[in-house]
Amino acid sequence: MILVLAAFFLQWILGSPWLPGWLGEIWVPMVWLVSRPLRQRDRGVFLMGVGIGICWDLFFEQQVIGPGGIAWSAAALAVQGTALVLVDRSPRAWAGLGALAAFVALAVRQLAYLPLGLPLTFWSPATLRICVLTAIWCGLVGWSLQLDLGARWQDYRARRLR
Amino acid sequence: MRRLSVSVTRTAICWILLELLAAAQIQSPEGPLLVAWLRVITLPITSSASYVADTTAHLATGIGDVTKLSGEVHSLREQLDQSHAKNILLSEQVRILSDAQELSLAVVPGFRQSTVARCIYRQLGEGRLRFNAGMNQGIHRDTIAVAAKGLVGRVTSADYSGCWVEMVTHPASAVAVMTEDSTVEGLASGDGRGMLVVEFVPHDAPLVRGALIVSSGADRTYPRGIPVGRVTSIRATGSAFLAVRAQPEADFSVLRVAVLVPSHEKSQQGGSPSSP
Repeated sequence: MILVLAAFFLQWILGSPWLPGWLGEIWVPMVWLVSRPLRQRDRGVFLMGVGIGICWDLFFEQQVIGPGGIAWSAAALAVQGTALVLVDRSPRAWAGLGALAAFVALAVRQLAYLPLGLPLTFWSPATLRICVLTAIWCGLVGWSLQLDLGARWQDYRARRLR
Repeated sequence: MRRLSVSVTRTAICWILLELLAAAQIQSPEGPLLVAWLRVITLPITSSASYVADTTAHLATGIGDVTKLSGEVHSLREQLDQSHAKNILLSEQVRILSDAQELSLAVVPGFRQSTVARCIYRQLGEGRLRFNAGMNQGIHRDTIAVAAKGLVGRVTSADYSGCWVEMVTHPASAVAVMTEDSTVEGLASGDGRGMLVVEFVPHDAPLVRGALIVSSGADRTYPRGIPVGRVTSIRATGSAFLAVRAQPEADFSVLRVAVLVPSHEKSQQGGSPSSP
């Protein structure tokens, strides 16, 4: 929970006016939806998606609360279903699932907007940027986990002590 | 498979609730968007309910109208029945008046102080008739009753509301009779079954079937010449007299009016009414 809140805090930082605008298009919390299925902890992914989506609407969209929950939960289901058939667990898989999740979340959010009469913004250059940047972000997280920095640090400490 | 269906159901419910949450936050010209959705969803239901309510109201009105109409029909039928009854009574009154007119032409001229009375009750089995003329009109015991066709009988009891007449067919009745040509005389008494038995007719009397027998006046009760009956059968008995039966001339089953002749009129008159 703390790490999720930290992700939201980081997202808020990235969206600050004194930073480049493209940084705000990295969907930081998306890595939580991607990591759980890839690390064989796929229980509660749907509810996590609903929670993250509602919090996303609450903190960042502020237009209407609800479609975010639908979008992020749909993304969670898409990632969970793809991870079941995907054997690869490399950083490329993380990046690919990140892009898939971002794309599904954007598309479903627009679908959720349709009955509400809200403006549609799916077909815009921002959509592609969000998907690519989120994929890169998820790929970096996957690569860092693969490095197993904790074990490397312990090895380094052990060598230093010797 | 069951887990999949549960998951799908859970997902659908969750998304629907989130969409409704979003709709409740958006304002439309008609108010919250959720209210507009609910209005659209319930429109067919409310329209159907309104249609059913209207139809039920029309049906209730129709049933009320039908009930009212059936009540009116029932009332009209009752009025029709009453009209029929009144028609029957009026027809009876007309027949009574017609009989009275016939009687006045046929019988009354022969009896100046006679009273025309209406038959109000018949006891044919006991041989009695009740008329609506009583003591206040001068009717007493032994007053004779005469119909247009013939003799009816005599008064056996009278009060102020009416009198009882013993018919000639009563077993206790006896009328001295004769043929029209006065060649044959006898005594006609009732047999209690609506017929007359003429006794004391000599076996060699020139009597034929169909002969009219009239009162002879020999009993000093009935005036002479009033038609009593017609001979229907003549049979030799081996004795000195014939067994003669006769049908009364007066039809007691449809008798409506009769002339009641007071006894002092009989003694003063001593004559007979004109026969029909």
